[in-house]
Amino acid sequence: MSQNIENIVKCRDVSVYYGENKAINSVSIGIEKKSITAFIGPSGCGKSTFLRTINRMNDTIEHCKIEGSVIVDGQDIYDPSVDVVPLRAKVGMVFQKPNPFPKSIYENVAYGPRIHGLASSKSELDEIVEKALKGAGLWNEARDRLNESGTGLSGGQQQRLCIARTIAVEPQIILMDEPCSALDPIATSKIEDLMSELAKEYTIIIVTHSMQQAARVSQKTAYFHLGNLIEYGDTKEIFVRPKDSQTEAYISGKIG
Amino acid sequence: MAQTRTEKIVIDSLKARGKKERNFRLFGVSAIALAVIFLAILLVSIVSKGAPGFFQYYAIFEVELTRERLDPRGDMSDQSLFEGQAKKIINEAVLEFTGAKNRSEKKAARSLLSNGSDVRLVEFVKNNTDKLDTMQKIKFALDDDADSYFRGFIKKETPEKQRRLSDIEISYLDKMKKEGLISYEVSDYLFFGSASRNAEMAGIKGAFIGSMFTLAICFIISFPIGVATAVYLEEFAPKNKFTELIEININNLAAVPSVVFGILGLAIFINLFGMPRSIPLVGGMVLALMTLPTIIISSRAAIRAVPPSIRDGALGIGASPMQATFHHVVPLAIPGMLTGTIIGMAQALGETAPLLMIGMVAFIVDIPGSVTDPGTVLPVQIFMWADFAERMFIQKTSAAIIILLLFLMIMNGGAVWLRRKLERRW
Repeated sequence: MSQNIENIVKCRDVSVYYGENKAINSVSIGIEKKSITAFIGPSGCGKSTFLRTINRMNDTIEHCKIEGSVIVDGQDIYDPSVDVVPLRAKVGMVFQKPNPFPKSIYENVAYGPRIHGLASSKSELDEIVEKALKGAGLWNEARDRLNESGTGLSGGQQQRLCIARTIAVEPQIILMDEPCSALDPIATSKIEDLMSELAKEYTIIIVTHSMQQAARVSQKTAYFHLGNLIEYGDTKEIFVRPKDSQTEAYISGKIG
Repeated sequence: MAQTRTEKIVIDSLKARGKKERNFRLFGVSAIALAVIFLAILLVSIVSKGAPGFFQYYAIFEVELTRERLDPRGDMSDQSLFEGQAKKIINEAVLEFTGAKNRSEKKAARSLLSNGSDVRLVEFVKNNTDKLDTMQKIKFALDDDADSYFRGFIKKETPEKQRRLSDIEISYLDKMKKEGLISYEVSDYLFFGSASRNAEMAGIKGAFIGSMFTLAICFIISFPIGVATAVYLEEFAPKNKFTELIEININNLAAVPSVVFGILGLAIFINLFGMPRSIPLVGGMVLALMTLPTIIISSRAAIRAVPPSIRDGALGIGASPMQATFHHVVPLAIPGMLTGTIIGMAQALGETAPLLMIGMVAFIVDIPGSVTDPGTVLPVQIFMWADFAERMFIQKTSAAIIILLLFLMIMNGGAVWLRRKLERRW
C-alpha cells in the first residue's frame, strides 16, 4: 500500500448490522484521494452495504446499525453532530439502476445546485448545468434537448445524466453502486472512459460485479467475502498475484 | 422423429390443460356479460322511468296585468307585489275560461293550476315591468293531480269517488286540452325550484347547492389532512407499535358504517360544540370524517407506488428527507392521491345516513346562500321525495336520481381524466 498518498476515507473496524444479521464484519480500509477504488466480491458479500456506509445511505434502512468509525475528509461522519445533508453533498452517489427524476434534463442536473443554493442567478445555474453535462460527457447529446424529459434518454445516457446530476454539486467523492450492470457493453465502455476522466478531479469508489471492469478502471481493488474484507491492494497486484487463496479462487472464476 | 417420454406425457396432458383454460375464459366472459346486462337493464329502467320526470304539463292562460291590482303601492317592491292580487287575477282567468258558475265548480276550476302560479305571475311582472297594463299569455304549471291525469295515471274510467280528480275537474282539463292550452315541456321547476310539498313545484336547486357546499367543506377538510397524514405515516413516522395501531385503526375506520359518523358528528359537533343543525358546514365535516380513511389509504398506496430509486436519487445528492418527499415523491403520487380523493368525494356525494343524523333532512325551502345556512343535499332530497305520497314525486325522484348519477359519472370521469393528465412514467 502506498503510504505517501493521502487517504480521504478512513474506515476503522466498521461493522454493519441489519437487525440481528451482521452484514459487515469489522472492516478497516483507507481510500486514496483522486483515484478509483473498486469493491469486488460475490453477491451478498456486503460490498454495496459497505459503500452505502460512506455517505450514510444506510440511514434510510430500518434496523440498520453501524459500529466503528468512518472518517471522511477528517470528519467522523457517524458523530451525532454530523448532518447527512452536507455529507451527501460531499459524497455523491450513482445507483445501480439509472434513476433520473421524471423531469427535464436541465431540471435533473439543476436540482442539486438548486436545493443547496449553489447558484445565485439563472445564468450561473445554466453554467453549472452545462459544466456538469460536459463533465459527464452528455453535453453534445443533450444540449438541444435540455427541456425534454430525462427519462426519455437511453439507459447509458440516463446513467450519465445521473453522473452529471451528482457532479453538479461538486462532491469530493463519488460512490458508484454497480453503475453499469443495467447497461450494454457500448454504454458501459463510455461510462468507464468517463470514470477515468472524472478520477482526475474526484475520488471514485465503484462496486462492480465485473472483474474485468475492476481491472480496467481501478487503481485499487478490495475483495469482500461474506462481510469480510479479504484482500485490499493495488489492482495490478490483486489480479496478477492475489495473496489470499479465496481472492484467487474468485478472480480465476472458481467461485462467484 | 421419435417422441421422448417427456414429450409424450406433455402432449397427452395438453388437452386437459387447454380445456381448463377455455373453461376459465368462458367463466370470465360470462361473468362480464352478466354484469353488462344488469347494468344495461338498470340504465334503461332508470332512464325510461326518470326521463318523464324532466318534463311536466303547463297550461297557458291569457291574463290582464292590471298595474293597480298587481302593484297596489306602485313601487314594485316585494311587499307591494305580495299585497297585490296575482292569485285573484289568475283565478279570474281560469273561471272565465271554464265558465264555472256555482261554488263547487269554481272550487274545481281554481284547483287545476299549481299553488305557485301567483309567484310565477309576480316573477313575470318583476322581469317585464313594461308589459304592465297589457294582456299577456303566461305559462302556469298544472297542479300535480292534473299533471297525473294527462300522464294517464288518473283515468276517466275510474269511478269518481276513487280518483283524485272530480268529473268537473276532468271536463275542464279536457276543455283546456281541446283549446290547445296544455303544453308538455321541460320542467323549469325541477332545475330551479326548491323543496316543496307541491310536487309540481318541487326542484333540486336547493339540494344541489347544499350538496356543493357540503362537498366543498368536505374536500377542504379531508384532502389536506388526508394527504398530510399519508405522507407523514409513509415517509416520516417511526415504525413502532403505536404507529402500527394507528394504521390498523385507519384501515378499520374505512369500513365503519357511515351512519356511525353521523352519530359522531351529532355528538361532537352539534351537542358538544353547539354548532347549528342542518347546515352544510357540519355536514361537510361529518362527510370529511367519513372520507378521510379512503383518502389516507389511497394516498399511502400512491406514495408506496413511487419507486424508491427516485427517493434515493434525491437523497444521494444531499436532499433532506423533507425535500426528497415534497420535491419528488409527492408530485409523483399526486395523481393517485387525487383519484382516491375524488372517489371518496363521490362516495360522500351519495351519502344520506350520516346527514340524516345531523338534521340535514329538514324541510328547507330557502336555497342556502352559504355553508352556515340550513340546507339539504341531493341524496337526502331524493330520500324525502321517495317518501312523499303524491304520484308526481315518483317522476321527480327518478329525475333527481338521474341527475345524481350524472354527477357521480362526471366526478369519476374527472378522476380518470386527472389521472391521465398528471400521470408520469419513470
